Amino acid sequence: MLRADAVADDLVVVVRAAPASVEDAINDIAVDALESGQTYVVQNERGEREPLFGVSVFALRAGVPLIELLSRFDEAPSYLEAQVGALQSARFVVLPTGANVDHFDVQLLSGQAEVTDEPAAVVWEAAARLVAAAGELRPNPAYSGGQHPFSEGQ
Amino acid sequence: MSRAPTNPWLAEQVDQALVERLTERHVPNRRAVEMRVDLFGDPHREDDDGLSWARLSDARSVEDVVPGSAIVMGSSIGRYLAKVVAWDFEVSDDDPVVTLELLPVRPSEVTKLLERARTSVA
Repeated sequence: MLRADAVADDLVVVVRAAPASVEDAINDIAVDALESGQTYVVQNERGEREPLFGVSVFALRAGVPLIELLSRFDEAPSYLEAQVGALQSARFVVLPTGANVDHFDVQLLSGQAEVTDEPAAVVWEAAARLVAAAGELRPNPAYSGGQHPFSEGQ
Repeated sequence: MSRAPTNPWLAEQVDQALVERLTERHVPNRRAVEMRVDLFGDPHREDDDGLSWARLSDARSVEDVVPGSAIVMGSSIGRYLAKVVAWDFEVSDDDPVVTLELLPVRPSEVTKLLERARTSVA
């Protein structure tokens, strides 16, 4: 569901709570976007349906402390944030999605036909571009310092 | 699309035959197994109703993530408690969307609570 509200260029969105490394952050984004694309479709500005290779992001509204957004991600050592305008400059579409007015999807891969052959490599490239657009990983102020859960399996 | 639960104590009932059919085809999700969680999924996600979601193929075991179940969801950024709200077959008959309500309690807190309850019996 797309909301009707406009997405301001200067709106800051917290892109993701993120693991410790850029590579893992890219991997997370790509995996999530691929599964989203296999699950949901969205209507683009031309009225055509296309897979939503989206990742959820949240608005950081004026006056709202960052830690309020990140408190539920307290095992994540870092996070990414960017202004909507910066994401748009990097050729991403930011969509106001769902009932939560602070929730948006960054569409990693626009203009794909509805049925696709899992364009994994392209989505990975887009995920890397998204992380680059957001700049460096920032330390998560809500991080509890617990053990990184995925490090055991790698 | 899922619906937001109006009464969180009520869960959609699924037929046992359906659970068995899905179990027959199910391959335990590798990352869920590695992390020893019930479901591998991204805690950022929100659907139209503000609920979290994953696919059944992200689960370690089908029967542990039936609607009404409390589960541990894991991702590269942590473990989360969640309640399974519904299975949605709109996208796939074999790999439904699992709609989840994330619970604002950390798994470690529940572990402590249960341990306290167990040891405080007179």
